[in-house]
Amino acid sequence: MKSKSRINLPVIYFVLPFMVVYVIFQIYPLFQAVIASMFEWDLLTSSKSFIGFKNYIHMFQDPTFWSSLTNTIKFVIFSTPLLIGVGLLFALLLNGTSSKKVLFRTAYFAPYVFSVSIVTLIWGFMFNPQKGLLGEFSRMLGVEPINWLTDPTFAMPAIIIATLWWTVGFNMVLLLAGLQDIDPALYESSSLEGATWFQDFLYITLPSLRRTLELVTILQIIMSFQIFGQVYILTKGGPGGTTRVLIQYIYETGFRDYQLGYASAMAFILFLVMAVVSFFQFRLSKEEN
Amino acid sequence: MKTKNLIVTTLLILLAVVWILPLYWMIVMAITPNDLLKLNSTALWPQGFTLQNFWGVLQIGLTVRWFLNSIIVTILGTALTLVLQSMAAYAFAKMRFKGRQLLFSLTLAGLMVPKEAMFIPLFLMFAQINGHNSYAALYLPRVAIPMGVFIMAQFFRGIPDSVTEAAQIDGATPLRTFFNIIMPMSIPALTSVGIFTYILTWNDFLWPLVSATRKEMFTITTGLASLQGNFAQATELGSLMARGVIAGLPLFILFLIFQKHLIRGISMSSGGKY
Amino acid sequence: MKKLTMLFMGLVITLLLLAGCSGEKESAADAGDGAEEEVVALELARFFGEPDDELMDSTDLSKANSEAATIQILTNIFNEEYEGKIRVEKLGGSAWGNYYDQLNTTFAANDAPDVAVMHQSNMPAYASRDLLVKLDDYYTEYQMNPSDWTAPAQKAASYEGTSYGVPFDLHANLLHVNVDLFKQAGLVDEQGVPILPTSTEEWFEHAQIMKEKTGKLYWVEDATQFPISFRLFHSLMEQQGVPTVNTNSNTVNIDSDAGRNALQFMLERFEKGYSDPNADYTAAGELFMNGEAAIEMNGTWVVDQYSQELTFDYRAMNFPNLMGEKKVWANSHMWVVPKQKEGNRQYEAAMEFSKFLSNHVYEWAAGSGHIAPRKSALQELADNNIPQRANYAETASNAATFPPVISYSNIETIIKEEIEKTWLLGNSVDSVLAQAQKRVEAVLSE
Repeated sequence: MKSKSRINLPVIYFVLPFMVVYVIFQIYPLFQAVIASMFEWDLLTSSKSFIGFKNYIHMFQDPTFWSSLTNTIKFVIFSTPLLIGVGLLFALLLNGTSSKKVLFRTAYFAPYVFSVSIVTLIWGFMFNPQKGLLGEFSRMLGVEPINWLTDPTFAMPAIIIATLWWTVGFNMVLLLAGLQDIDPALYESSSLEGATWFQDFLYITLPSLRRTLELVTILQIIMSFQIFGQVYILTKGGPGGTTRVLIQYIYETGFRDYQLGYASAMAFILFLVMAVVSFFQFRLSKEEN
Repeated sequence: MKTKNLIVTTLLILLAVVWILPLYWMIVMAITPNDLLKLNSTALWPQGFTLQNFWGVLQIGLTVRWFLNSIIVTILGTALTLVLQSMAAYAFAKMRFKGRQLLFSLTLAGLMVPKEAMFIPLFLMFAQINGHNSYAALYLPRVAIPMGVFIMAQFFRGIPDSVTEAAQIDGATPLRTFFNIIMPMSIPALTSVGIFTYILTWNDFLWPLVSATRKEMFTITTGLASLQGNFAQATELGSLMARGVIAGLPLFILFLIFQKHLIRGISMSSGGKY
Repeated sequence: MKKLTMLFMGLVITLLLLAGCSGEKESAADAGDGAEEEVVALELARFFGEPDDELMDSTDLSKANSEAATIQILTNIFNEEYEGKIRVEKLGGSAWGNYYDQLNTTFAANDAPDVAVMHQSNMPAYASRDLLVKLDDYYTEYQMNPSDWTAPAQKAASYEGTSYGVPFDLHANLLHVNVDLFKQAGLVDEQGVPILPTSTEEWFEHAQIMKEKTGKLYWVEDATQFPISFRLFHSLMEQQGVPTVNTNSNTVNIDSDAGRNALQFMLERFEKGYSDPNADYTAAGELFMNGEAAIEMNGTWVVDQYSQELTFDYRAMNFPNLMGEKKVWANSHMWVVPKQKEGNRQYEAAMEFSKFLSNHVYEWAAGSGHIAPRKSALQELADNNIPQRANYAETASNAATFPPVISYSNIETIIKEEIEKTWLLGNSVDSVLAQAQKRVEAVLSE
């Protein structure tokens, strides 16, 4: 154990370069946004006036804020297990160097390279009951096509499907990286003992993947809380505002209605929600340790 | 055993078809003339064939410049992210120092801030120093997004302390340990961070839109968007798809090249790590 | 591994140097060399997209066959005419959807472009914040003739009695009509011109006839995606003489008999199967273009496309009078001059450019399908027999822009979201009108 009393020089040059960039380009704007939340700040004129907690009081009485927050939470709850589960499935099945596996990995990851605008363009068409592929398939099967994006029951699932298609590659790649750190000797010895693949999965793979799974889970939850692009372009928060997520409302408030202060306040609350969720997740994982 | 393999392979093929189908459709639309698509966009088989949708984009004088801008910004952003963020991650994961937990929590907090909220303060910051329309304005904020720190820290924690201690005993400085021993061990994790950062930087839209407003400074993403007329998805669907393909193809190729680093070959895993 | 790392570092350093150089070059050009430069560089912000590469530098107006081509060619002609004096430089590259995001950030940084295109609906937000140059005196100075402008255009360009814009066009909703289907249904007059309903009762009668005689939908519009249904609602309110929002008294008229009439009518069309409640913008267009719907309610911007591409007999027609006065939703593109810091002002050059464009509204209307805002140009368009223009010439006077409210986008979203709940979610007309009324009132009171 090296000295703790001296100034730990290596720590400084390992951490400082990133920290400098981070503080300037992330913390400082964040700090300003937090301050902004206590102001009435007009985007166009930059005129500001201090109003204390009025933005927060307004927020708690704003039905659109609550519906947006609810929609976001709904999305997180329903999409997270799906995105992690499918990602894990793919990673497990495709761990290896055979060209067959390479081909499949590429297929499942490929959507991730495309931007949100092209992804939503494609899926906007896929979901369209008259002209989309899904509609065509339904008609071929003799089933009335679903109005995915305009039916309140199916709009959120549609967004989840498009998101799954688009981003499952992210989880798959991270879990693949995690799988590389599992000592293959463990599997060799277990096969000598005659264990089934399911037992291998439960008793070797999952425990060894725990660290990576924690990583994937918390990243997935954080990213899901911040969902915006797909919703905005596919449904614009509709039908009738039933899929509007919180980031969309923050964007509309700040950029469309020019109220940066109020937008910042909502962003701060969203941040707190994510922080609380992350905190509990860390707690949970520490306990399992 | 054989039936299990068959089931698994069938499942994989089915899923692969589902995954590829929308992309295939995208390509079909990209090679179909815009006029035909106005009447019918469902066809899985090209109704007509044209390379004009691609040609129209590639002919534009500035397309090469836009690609170059994207490449410069993305490479710089990714390189700096990989180096700076993994170094910080290593310190958080493997070094003990006062305030480590606090600093790490602070770093994680950066992931939880919606960028729409920070957008304007960041924009004004650059505007005040006349820093827009520069490469630095495009890649520096990207390096500040701490996803790489979080991912690499998690992976570094998995490396046993015995490794670092052994290196210390051998007289290696922390820097040497990091670059010569730790980094080579972490290729899969680094590859994932590299791939993600590269893709996210390349596809970044809103920030380059407002920061790089001179035509010569557009990235390929904003440059292609600038070509778009009103109601483009009704009038120039094929062109839109072609532009999507053009923007995404380099990333796809890059993934093909680098994805082998996600997997450790058999020769590495025995003896290399423990 | 080491060699790769070294190579990598080398590459990074080279790129960093490259990047540094480019960065510097830009800031040098930026550093206010205005004094030495004779040519005024005029920063222009606009959407409309870009034309094909071969037209990017063209000055040949005969090639202007789209919004993008027309505006680019006009800009090139201006640059040619004013060579050595003013050079227009297009700023940014936003598509229509992100235009205001980009524009708003420039205002936030107090560095707005010298001249920008703006919608009439959005202009009040900027005018009310004193961000735009007042143009009345400039009109006089530059001998621009506002009396040549049509009444709706004049109204669109001003806010609270002051002029802030130079009108470029009016764009309104038209009915795009499949004449063949109308003939099949027997709904044409002796000249073969489609007969449009003059009341809501007639609307349903005609729709039923169309259904029986042809089996096709009578009327489609984008009912879900863009705020087109909102525009229909606004049109019907205006026809009843009840503006959605009364800006003089700052009151809202959504929850009213007029509102009920309008929304009830809109909903009934879907309920009776004469229109498609789930159609988005492209679906509505496709239905019409494939002959599945006899009428598409869409804007002036598709006239040329339909005119050139449709295989059936197509006619663009004025939006009908269904509820009283002949009025229809319209918006307007206009050129505004954002205020600049002292020492950065190029208002004169901005006016030269705006005046130039104003003098060419004929070409713009001919190239884009939008309605010219000047009576002289309208006359010329009619005289020169540009396709279809005569068929909707009346819209130039029926055009009813939305009342000039400061929070237009917010109000538009609220109304669109609420009214679509009736046909998408099954909510009652009364409940959505009441909700919309409440929400819009809240916005107005802020």
